[in-house]
Amino acid sequence: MALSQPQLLEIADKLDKAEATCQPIPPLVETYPALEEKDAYQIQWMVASRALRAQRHLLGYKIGLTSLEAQKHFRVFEPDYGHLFDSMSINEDSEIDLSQLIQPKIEGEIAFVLGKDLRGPGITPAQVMRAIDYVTTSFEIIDSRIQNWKITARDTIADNGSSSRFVLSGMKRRLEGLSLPHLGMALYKNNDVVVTGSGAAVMGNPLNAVAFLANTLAKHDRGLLEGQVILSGSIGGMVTMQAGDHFSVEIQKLGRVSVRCKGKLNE
Amino acid sequence: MNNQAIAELLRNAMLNRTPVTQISKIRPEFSLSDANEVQEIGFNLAQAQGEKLAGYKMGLTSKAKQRDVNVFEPIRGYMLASTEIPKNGIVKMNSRIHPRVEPEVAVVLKEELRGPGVTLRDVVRSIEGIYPALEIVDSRYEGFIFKLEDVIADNTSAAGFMVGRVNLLPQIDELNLMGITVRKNGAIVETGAPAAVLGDPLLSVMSLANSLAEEAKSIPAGLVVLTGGITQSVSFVKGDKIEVEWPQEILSFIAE
Repeated sequence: MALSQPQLLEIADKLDKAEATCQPIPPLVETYPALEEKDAYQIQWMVASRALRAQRHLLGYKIGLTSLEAQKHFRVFEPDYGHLFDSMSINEDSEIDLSQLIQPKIEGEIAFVLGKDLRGPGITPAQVMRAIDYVTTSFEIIDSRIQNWKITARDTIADNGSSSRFVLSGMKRRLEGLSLPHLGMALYKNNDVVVTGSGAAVMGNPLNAVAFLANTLAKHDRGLLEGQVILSGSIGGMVTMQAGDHFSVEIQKLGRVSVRCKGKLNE
Repeated sequence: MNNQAIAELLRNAMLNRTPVTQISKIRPEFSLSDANEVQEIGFNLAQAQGEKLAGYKMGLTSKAKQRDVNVFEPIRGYMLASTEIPKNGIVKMNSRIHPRVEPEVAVVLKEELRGPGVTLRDVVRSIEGIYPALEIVDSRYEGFIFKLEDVIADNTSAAGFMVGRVNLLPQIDELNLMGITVRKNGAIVETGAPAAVLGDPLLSVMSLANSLAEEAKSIPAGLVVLTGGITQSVSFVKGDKIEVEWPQEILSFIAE
């Protein structure tokens, strides 16, 4: 009992408008109980297609629900993903304007930039490794367009994986000689460490998450392209952002990145 | 109930594996200085029963936890030599109430560190070794629920420790961001990095030296200092296998 095409379009409109106006909407699964996971991805692609038609550039993808904890919480057994557009990119050591956001949270992640196309099915972590140009530290800012973060997996998938902004460190590290699961991360809020974790938090190894992404996109005849950015998944949990906060994150051997909040959140 | 009786109550709770009601509920006026006195009496009781001091453990070393209780100094407890668990050994459940495990950084000094006024540089100069470690905590209170005064009186829930063999001192500059992964029966349950401990676990050693100095005590060479939990504590029951993986070494145990 999937949703009809007009219903999918209606939801895409609502999500678009919620983001543009910073007015979150009720959980989709409450308004549309029949919403299925494949509907949710179709909605995400509708919104992404509009962004492409509006001359925005697709820079890459984010992967979410990559920890056992998150998968248990959302009662799912695999990660999800979302699209990253140029309009979502923030420069390192710059300011993020909270007045354009709804209820943002920040997460530290290992990010990859591809040096080759990567097209599934059947992509293995070893193939992922060969396709990676470099690895670096990143922040992802997530910001649900659903009221009070009251989301299920289907809500967040339709809502582009709740993604909102991202920041990449300028440091570029080759993968050779790095053991990603063993890299530690520390996330600082106003100079206090508030979250730590290791690369293993991301499906045991962030390369596993990229292989998942390549193989999942392949089901819809899509591939990852040279130069695209992949945020591999949250390490150690998210932190609520408030006016005036300063955040920085450092991952061992991958550098540090920071961002400062300006402006006030919409109440 | 006076402080002597409370110390005996807590010691017996540990020996008999029977949790007790929080002291702060029995004696609402129970203060931090009472709590410290009870911990001291409890340690003296243990020594009188033949226990030896193996080192100190630090608690309340995360900024988030400190804000929760509005106390901005770590707390400490005594670690008894009899509670050391051999590397990759067995944790006996018949001497525990509701144990949990935390990955930690252990520091061993080559020379005594005596405050007041110990600096981070003094700490670095005095270190013999920095080792991957884990701590078993096991509150003697019902439900593992307590106030700050309760947990100090209860020797900060200290119940056991394991120290690894790989000395991380040559990589001291990388210590804060070493990635640590805790697995229970093969599944990843926690990850973290030593920066979780006050931003730098060596600050925990500095704090210990300076707080001991208030009682004219020092950290002797050779004792183990467990600097504080790196992740949330992980509960375990009989039959569980716990593994703490550092880049350099894996510490594990089976609960029997």
